[in-house]
This record gives sequence, structure tokens and C-alpha cells, in this order.
Amino acid sequence: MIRIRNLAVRIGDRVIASVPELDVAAGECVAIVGESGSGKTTTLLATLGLVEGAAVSGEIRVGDVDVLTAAPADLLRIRGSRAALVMQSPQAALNPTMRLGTLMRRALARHGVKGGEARRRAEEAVAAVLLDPLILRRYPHQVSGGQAQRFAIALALALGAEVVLADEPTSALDVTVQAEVVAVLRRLRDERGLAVLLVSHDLALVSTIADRVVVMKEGAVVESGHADAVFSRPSDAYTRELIAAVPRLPGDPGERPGEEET
Amino acid sequence: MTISGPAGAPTLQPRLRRTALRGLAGMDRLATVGAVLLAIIVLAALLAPLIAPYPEDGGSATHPLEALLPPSGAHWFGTDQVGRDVLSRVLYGARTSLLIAVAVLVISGVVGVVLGVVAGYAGGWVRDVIMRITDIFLAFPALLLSLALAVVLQPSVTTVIVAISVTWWPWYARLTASVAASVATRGFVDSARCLGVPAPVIVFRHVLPNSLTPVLVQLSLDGGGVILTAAALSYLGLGAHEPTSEWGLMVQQGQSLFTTDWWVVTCPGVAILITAFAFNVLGEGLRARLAR
Repeated sequence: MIRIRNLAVRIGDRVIASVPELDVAAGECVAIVGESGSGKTTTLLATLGLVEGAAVSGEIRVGDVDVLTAAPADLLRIRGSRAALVMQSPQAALNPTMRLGTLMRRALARHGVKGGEARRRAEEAVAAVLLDPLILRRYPHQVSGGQAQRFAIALALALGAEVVLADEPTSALDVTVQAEVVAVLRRLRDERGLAVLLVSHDLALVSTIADRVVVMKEGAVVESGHADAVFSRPSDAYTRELIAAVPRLPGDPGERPGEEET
Repeated sequence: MTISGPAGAPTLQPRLRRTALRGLAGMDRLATVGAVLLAIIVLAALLAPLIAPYPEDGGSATHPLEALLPPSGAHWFGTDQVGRDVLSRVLYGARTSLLIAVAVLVISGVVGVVLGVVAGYAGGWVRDVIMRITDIFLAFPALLLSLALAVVLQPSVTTVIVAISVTWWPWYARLTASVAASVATRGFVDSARCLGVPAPVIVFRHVLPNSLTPVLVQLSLDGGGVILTAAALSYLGLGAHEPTSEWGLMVQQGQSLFTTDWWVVTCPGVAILITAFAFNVLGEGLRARLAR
């Protein structure tokens, strides 16, 4: 669904993100991990052609659209309907003056879905993320962070997005709610073949959902591979550092990353 | 791990529906006084033909034999130089003043907000161009610019509206631009872009509604200022003219009589005072409430 080759994002002479190769297939979750400033969010935004004030080179394909050479109208079309972004702070991502239902109806209309079909899709998508349909009548300040985040996922589903780009989707939520959001993403990946490109610094979270992991540091990829392999046999010193930084509780049953083979 | 399904999701609380009502109830007492006063003035203006004791006196009627009668049971506010009932003229004058106030606030508000929100969202050279034009208008003393325009155009109510609007919009443009620039950095603007919403739609549907609050406060604060400025232009003979009932014009016509027939100038003067006061306290109340 997503194919990135030799991506380089530069501001002046400085490369702020460089990804030689990254693919996300349908039904697969790929996580980009790394600390703040490592270029993970930039990579995500570049995927939708939303990087501003920087030069982007290489090849980025979303479905059959080449993002870097696509006409502006095509870019507007694929944003949302092919690949949708789920942002870090869920409530800030929703216009406070609009009811969620209005927001979804307008987003659907923007992509050519109207009337009864729009209503059907909205209700179906909301049910798919286990939200009460009444939520569509509410304003963003009337819903919890977890509900808002699941609504953002529902919005992607309603628009028919095949790829969800999730930028730290759970870091603004508390732990139990994080688990709900991840469970929803995992179920949609398994049941609907949704492709998920997840950006996170939370390795504990990543280990519960990612099939493959890309580790970034200072704009460059330092390690990538299957999640199990990366977590159990990290080859790069930086990855080992990240794994060691995951907090553990005494008596932890040992499901955290890096625990398996120690 | 449990996920709260449709059954477990909390239902819509009825109290959430009352937000609009609470907006009024939460205002302080002075602001409520302002709102009530303004409502009375608006009603008086709308119903002037029905409640004015001598509706024809709002226009060109003359009753030379009843000129300059002091306030009495028949003429509560007395009569003017040509025998017209001052109360009737004050009521009709409310129509003119409110019409001017509303027209100026709508015109300058729309122009200022549209330019401001575009400047604030677009940034870069677009903002620079719009803001420099705004600065040029702000560089002139407002009343002088209005006066100059009013002198060039024919004296009329329309002239007053145009002359004041021209000096009024830059304030709203500047205010909106600064608010819109910060709204443009908020998450929902990014998420709209990620959903493929084109820039014009983002500006007017997402940035604009979220930039309006301070402008609305400023508009309600400015209502009084517009009425005062309009009265000043009419007082100088550049606005409404006979036989239109207009408070500033009435003050001008009555000023020479102040020592002998005080009611001719005092009644419209007090009407200006009360209306400007009502706008101000309402605006202050809104500001205090929205700042919380």
C-alpha cells in the first residue's frame, strides 16, 4: 500500500529524514520508532505530501499514486480516502465548533459520498470502532480522548482509507485507553486488511501491534526488520538503548520487548 | 482488556444541550443590564411607528403653533423648533442610529474578518500585503478620514455608513489575523489538510469559526463607538439631514437652544449616552465571560 524508496527530506543542507526503503502491505502494521527529532513524523507527513519548507526527494507511492509527482488535485483526493492520518492529541484534531457527525458528513462529501450512503458509512464505521452512534451528535469537548481517537480511526474507515498513518496515536491517552485504541487498530488490521504505519516512541506499545519495526535516529534508519527479531536481537546499540529504557515493574510477567530471550 | 462497546458508552447528557442558554445566564449583572437596555432600544426602534405618540413628527411634519413646548403630558420630551414631538423623533432616531451601527459593524466586520483570516492562515507575502494595507488605513486618524470621506460624498445616512466602515475594518482585520495565525497551528487544521480539504475550505470552515470569539467581543464593544461617531458626523452636518430623525442631527439643531429649551438637545443626547453605554457594558460582559 505504501512504498518508499530513497526518501530524503532536506532543509538546506541538512537531511532531517532519510529512509532508503519502507513498505507497508495491506493487513500489516509497520512501526517507526525513535526519540523526538529522529525524523519519524516527517516521514509520515512526507507520505501524504504534507512536508512544508523542505525539499523532498526519492519515491513515495500510496497505492498507485506517486505522491511527489502527483497533481495537487490527486493529492487532495488520496488524503483521507486512500491514506488517513490519526494524530497525537485527539481532541485538538477535531474542529471544536463542529459536531462529530457534521465533521464526518463533510469529510465524506469532500470525497464524493453523500446522502444515505454517507449516513450508512458513518454508522458502520462508528460501530466498527465500538463507539455509540450517539457520539455523532456530540461536539469534540463532549467526548473523551479515547473516544475522539477512535472517532479519528472511524473517519478513516468511513472514507475507505486502506492505510492509516498514526502519529503517536496513544501518547496523549492514559494507559487503559491506549490499550483500547491499539486493540481497535489491531482488529481492523486483522479483519479488514488495513495497513497501519505507526509512529511512536513507546516500545511497549509498539511490541503489542507492530509486525515490522523501523528504528530511526537523527533522521536516519539505524535498524529495521521483523518486530520479534528487532526486539529480541537488536543489532544496533541505539535500539538496545531504547529497549533498555522501557520501564518495567517488579514481577512483570515478561511480555515487554527484549524480555523474551534474556 | 475490555473495550466499552455501544452498550457501555455513556448516553448524551441533556445538560449539554443548555450551553447556549448558559451563555446568557452566566454574564455578570452589568452586562445583563446592557443586554436588556439594548433589547429595549432595538424594540423601540422596530416599533417606532406603533409606539411613537406622533408618528408623523418623525418625518417632515411641522406644527409652528406648538414650537418649543416644555415636557408635558401631551409631549413627554417637549417639542422642537418646528413643533415636532421630541419623544417621537428620539424613537425614530433610534432606527437611524441602530441601522448605521449594524450596517457599519456588519460591513467592517465581514471585510475585516475575511481579510484577517486569509492573512492569518496564509502567512508569508499574502499576510504582509494585507497587513501593510491595513496599516495604511490605521495610520490615518479615524475621525479625520471619516470626515474627509463624508465631505467628498453627498451627506446622507449611506455616506455615514461608508465613511465609518472604511476606518473601522482594519481593526478587525488586524485582530482576526493574529487570532487566525494561532488557530492555523492547531491540530484540527492539520487533520483537515490530511483529509484532503482544500485551503479555501479550511480557511472559512475551520479557521474562521474558531477565530471569531475575540472579534465578536470587539464588535459589541464597538457598537457604542460607531453610534458616537455617526452622531458626530451628523452633528457636523455630514450625515443624516432634515427631515430624517437622527440623534446627532437633533443635538446639533438643538444646541443653540440649550440655555432656554434644554429638552430639545438633552433628550437625544441622553439617548446617545444610554445606547453607547449599553453596547459598552454588554461588550465588557462578553469579554469577561469569554476570558474565563
